[in-house]
Amino acid sequence: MKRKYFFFALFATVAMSFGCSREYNLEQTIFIYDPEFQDLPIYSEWGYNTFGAYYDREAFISLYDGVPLKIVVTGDSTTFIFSGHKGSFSDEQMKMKFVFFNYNPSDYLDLLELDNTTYDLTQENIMVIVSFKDVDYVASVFEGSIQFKRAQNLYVDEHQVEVILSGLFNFKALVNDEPVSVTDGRFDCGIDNTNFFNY
Amino acid sequence: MFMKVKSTLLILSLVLICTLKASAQDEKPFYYLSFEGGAHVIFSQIPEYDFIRGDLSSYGGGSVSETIYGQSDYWYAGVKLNKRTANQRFAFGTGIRYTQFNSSLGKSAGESNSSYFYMLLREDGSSTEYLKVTDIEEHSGFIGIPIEYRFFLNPRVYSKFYIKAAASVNYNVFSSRSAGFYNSSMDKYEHDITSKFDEPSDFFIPLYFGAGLILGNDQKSNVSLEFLVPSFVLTKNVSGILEPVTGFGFQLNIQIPVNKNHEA
Repeated sequence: MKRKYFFFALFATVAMSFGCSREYNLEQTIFIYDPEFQDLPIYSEWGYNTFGAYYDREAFISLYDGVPLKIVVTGDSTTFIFSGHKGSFSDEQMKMKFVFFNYNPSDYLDLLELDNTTYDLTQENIMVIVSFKDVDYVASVFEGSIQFKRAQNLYVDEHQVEVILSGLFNFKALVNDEPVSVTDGRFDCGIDNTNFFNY
Repeated sequence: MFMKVKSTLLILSLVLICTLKASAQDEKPFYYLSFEGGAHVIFSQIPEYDFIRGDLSSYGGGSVSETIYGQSDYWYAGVKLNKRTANQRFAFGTGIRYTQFNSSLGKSAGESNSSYFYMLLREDGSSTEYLKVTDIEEHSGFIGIPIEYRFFLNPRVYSKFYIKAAASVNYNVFSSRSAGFYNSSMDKYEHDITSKFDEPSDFFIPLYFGAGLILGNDQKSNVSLEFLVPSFVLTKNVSGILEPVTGFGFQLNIQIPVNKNHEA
């Protein structure tokens, strides 16, 4: 009996590995500077693994390595965590988290339903958190939105590889009692099992 | 395109007329047949294609170690009838020539040893398909008329050394394109990939300048070797995959006198 379960598990593992494949080169960052907003990456829909925005006119951008976007599903909420640094030449670590309550995709492929959707960040079921050096500050957003312009199911050489989420965001909020303005936000990130978490 | 062909032909015709007029009073112009062969390397730019992913721009401080390269070159062979004026100052030649223009787009492996780049095959609803392409190649053949003009600086002293200006007007007689794939099972998409690029133009008009040296007796059968720089491509869309800019080349000529009773 134990041998039967062992072979079943082995078969399932092999079968799953043929179902979706990882592309190392697609996981790398390709940061092409926007000719108009020269501190930020261009808006793209290629899965370049970049994001950027002006946080009070200072660039908040993805790191040259690491994971720019992680999606964490816990309970009945999903958090989109953008990790980067503030200032073009600064090492100040910063994260921006968009928490969607009552939204819990079971798999990264379920993110495709976000295609061409826009969310008002002042809604009660969305929370924005700004994190500096791992200290979280909940933002009181009084205007702004996040737009998922495109969600693509990417195949490479006929193998499913990842979901590419691309979009724009901007908002005004009180963060730690300070009014801040986040403008010209854009993101273009690939999501697969390595940066999608459901627990 | 036709304006460029017309302008080039007009300018070269005027030069021909001036040369013929200048030599009209010469008593004994010198004719020779030359068999030529040459090759040029052309530095090219890669256009901003919206169906090729990434690696087209550098990453600020150069962290992207892999780049897509574009390379163009052409070779030619032909036969010309040349006329050198009796005062040995000028020489003019024209004839017929076959030229093959080659372009390729590929990937030079950097630190990660990736030999491919991603091309967009199609988008269908929420599905997007990329292919891993190793290279795109294009070869075009042209038949044309070369026109060359040589000037010997001081024929009494340097009878073997000259500078030249040349051009040719060439018509496309065939074109072929191929794509290489990282996974050979994707070969079935070769036409889908190669058809994303523009077709090469019907005409190819190069213009180049250079200097040459005659090896052997310049009044008898001899060989001349030429170094040609700069070499321009006036028809920018001669390649459907790259934009040629400028380059350099070499040409070898085997020259046989036609009028044997020429006296030096």
